[in-house]
Amino acid sequence: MHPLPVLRTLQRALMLALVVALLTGGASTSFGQAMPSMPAPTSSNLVCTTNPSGTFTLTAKVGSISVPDGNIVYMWGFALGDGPFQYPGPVLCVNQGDTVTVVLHNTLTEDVSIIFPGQVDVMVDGEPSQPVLDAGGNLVSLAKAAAAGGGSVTYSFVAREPGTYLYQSGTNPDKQVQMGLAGTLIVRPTVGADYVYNSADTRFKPDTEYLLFLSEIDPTMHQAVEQGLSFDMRNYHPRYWLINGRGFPDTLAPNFAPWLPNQPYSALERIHPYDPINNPLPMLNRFLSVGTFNYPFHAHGQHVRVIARDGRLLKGPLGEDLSYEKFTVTIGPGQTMDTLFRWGDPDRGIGYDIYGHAPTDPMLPGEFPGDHGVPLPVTVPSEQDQTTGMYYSGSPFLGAMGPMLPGMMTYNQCGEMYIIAHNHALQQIVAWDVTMSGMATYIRIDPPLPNMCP
Amino acid sequence: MRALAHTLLRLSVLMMLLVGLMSAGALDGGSAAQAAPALSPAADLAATLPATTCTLTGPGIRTCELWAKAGTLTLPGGVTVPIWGYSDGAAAPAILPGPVLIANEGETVEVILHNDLLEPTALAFPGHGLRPDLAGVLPGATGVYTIPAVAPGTFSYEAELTTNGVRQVAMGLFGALIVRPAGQPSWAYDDAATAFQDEALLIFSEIDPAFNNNPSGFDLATFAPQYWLINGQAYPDIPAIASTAGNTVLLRIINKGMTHQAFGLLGLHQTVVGIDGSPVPFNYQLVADMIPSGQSEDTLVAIPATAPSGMQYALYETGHKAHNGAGATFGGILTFITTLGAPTSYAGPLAANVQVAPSPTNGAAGVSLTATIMGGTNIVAAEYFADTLGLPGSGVSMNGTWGAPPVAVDATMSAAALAGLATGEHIFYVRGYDATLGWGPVGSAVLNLVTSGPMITGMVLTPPDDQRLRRRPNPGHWRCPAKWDGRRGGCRILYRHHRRTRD
Repeated sequence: MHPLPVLRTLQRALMLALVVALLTGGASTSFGQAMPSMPAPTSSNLVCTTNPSGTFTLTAKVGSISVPDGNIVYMWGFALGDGPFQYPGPVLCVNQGDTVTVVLHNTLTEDVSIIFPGQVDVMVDGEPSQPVLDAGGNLVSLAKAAAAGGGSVTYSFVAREPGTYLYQSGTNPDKQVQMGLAGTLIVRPTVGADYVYNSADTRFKPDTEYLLFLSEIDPTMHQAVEQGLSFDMRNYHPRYWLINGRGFPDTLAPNFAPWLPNQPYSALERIHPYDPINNPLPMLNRFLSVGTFNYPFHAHGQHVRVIARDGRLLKGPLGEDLSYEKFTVTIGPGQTMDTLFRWGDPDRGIGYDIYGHAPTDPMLPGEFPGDHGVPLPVTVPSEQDQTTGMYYSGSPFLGAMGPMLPGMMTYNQCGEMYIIAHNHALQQIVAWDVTMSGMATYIRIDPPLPNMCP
Repeated sequence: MRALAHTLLRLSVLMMLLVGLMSAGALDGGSAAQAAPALSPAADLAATLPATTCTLTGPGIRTCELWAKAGTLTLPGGVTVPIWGYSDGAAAPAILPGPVLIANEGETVEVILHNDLLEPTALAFPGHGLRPDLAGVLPGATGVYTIPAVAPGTFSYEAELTTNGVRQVAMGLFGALIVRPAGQPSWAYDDAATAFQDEALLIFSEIDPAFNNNPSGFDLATFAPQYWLINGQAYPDIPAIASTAGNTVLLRIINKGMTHQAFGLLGLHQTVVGIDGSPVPFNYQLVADMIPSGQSEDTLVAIPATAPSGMQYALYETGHKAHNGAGATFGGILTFITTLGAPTSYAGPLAANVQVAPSPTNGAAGVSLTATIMGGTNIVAAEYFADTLGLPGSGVSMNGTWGAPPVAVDATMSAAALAGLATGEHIFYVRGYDATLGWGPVGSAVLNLVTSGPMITGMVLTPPDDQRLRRRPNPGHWRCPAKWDGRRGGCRILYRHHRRTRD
């Protein structure tokens, strides 16, 4: 028994279709065909907020987000300056060695502060940032706060080490961080913005940097806060699990999707196959978690390589490579992780030609020679025995499209492949029993360039 | 004793500082008083671990004695729950966690267990390869466990796999076993890189009071912890970990709860050097550590020599369980690593109480920006910026009665100057300049500038709007199978089994 309405599968499918129609600019399509005229999506890459003097103003304010079952959740969050509400907070990108100044304005009805886990020597209003006690000696905040109803406070620190870090409220954090007061800080290494750390083996392809900010929401707690009622923390029970503040399939929508005005960050990871000549660099994923559970995040397709935890490169004192490959990366509350991922491996095949080549066709760079021209090792069932997913291109081969089954529609654009990446605690990819509405996204593998992809 | 003297010294210095701060007037910022931190309990975690415990009863043989008995634990808020715990004397009360057993590398540790419970109990020493004692020691009887040639590390002991063993651990029958490297009591392992000056033992555990009140009959599948503890206490009762700038602190952490615990350290880094009593081949730094149930971990925290005095570095639970019971205020797994001395007072010029008025405004009468520069000794200038904070010294000068703080500063922006700003919110930043200390940190205020359209003021909704309670009556023509839902203006959806109908 819960107070929020639940959309049934049909209604959700209709909503997805509406999403698709919006993506295509309303272009209708006859069944069985792809939609070639989709407008180019705005990117889903990590969106950096930068400032030449390293100064950022964050305003703590009230807002709301939309979750995949159609509900709206009351939220608190950090907005950039006088800009619109957003969740999660802006991704602040600075360079190693920068002096970072964060001015916090607070329009909420509670004091709000910011702590910067992983940073040292943080100053607030000119003094070291220290816990604040009330007259009775009780802790009221882990850092000096901006007073409710318009107060402000200024934090500053030197970003000494590159990496991925959280910033979050340090006042009543059990409540305030859950309400949405958290965001990402990225410190770029001195060697260059297309490296994760000051190490040559952390280089990544710059337009394939993706944010995965993992969080959860208990809607009854947010409702209690909205109505000014007290909430018994023993009843805390999250129902929505989000990546970048969105639940699947909103995680696939592009950055700044107009129908998600308060959730600007996409989680769709888009890459091309590994190719030692034209595409040798991996994709970078920056994971952060403000949840209450460990999230076992699991990418299908290939292993990811964990190269750093909590802003520290996994390397021994003599340069020993301590990175490791996993297909499930477990990220705990308050932790961050940096992983590299590439799809396609010229040293091992998968047993058939992924492009559907004939043996006499030319090889593509990065293609495994042993697979070239090898046909699909299964007999494709007859049409009456088939059903397809909504991202199928009509062909099992990368870069190829084919006719869809009668009555089936597709979102596939140019023969790309989609690999799911999701929280493997499977009760956390559902919300209110509606499957695939939680912490899941796709990795999209576009055919090698040149391709027909928008 | 030393810790007590230090605490008293700290408190007296802090009292003087507090008086000084109060007479200087309230500082800018939050509604919380800027009270000097008063660390409550005189003891602190870092002073509680001796070199060894128990008794040497022969060459290389260390004998410990434990009594398993019923007791009570007082939780934050004064709630008392029954526990089962170990004590170190026949008449001593049970404590949670049990007495810490500290031995040296290579010794044989002999543990004599007296069972004062009403059911059999046994001891387990995870990581030491002893044969499991499934039968246990009968009530009123005594048993002996022998661990040969212990190796350095942080380990635990707990009630073993007798029939009720799981419930016994959950009731509090656990403690720590620490083994120090031979000849090096201030190393964690046989490695100089694990040297420390201060150490603290932190045993995490959980309490579900409903279980403690009914350990035999409670359905463990419904175990839902409401209190999270370090060494049997929750914030604000947890002592601090006292250290000094330049010291390295060893945190010996054991999780005896049923779930993972995540904890982070603010302002300092922790370096993991050992897990489950084994040194890790390569140390690694973490901000937030995650300790599964039953695991132990050794982390080193290096406090920089340049750390200011009187610092408090928060060690806190990062999974939003740092509260006690129903409340959302601070509690649970939360303590501080502290450095000696009183916090240094920072006397730089602080731009406090920054105001821009009138706000909201349409700008026709201009706005006035005011602030008070506090701190420093001789304030000679102030500047402001609109929307974009620039480098110190590059802003627009303000007027003020320069001299000793507090100094009131002001500036006006004319209607003509405001005409260049777009409608919406604008942020004004103010900085003060002290003749000796230079520019201080900024304060800021927000101006709500409405230059187009009518400006709405004094809006009141009658009756007051409470969206959740607004109900629309059934217009009469809807027949619902279950119930009319006034809030949504339609028939209530019965989850899953009925369709929404209307005529």
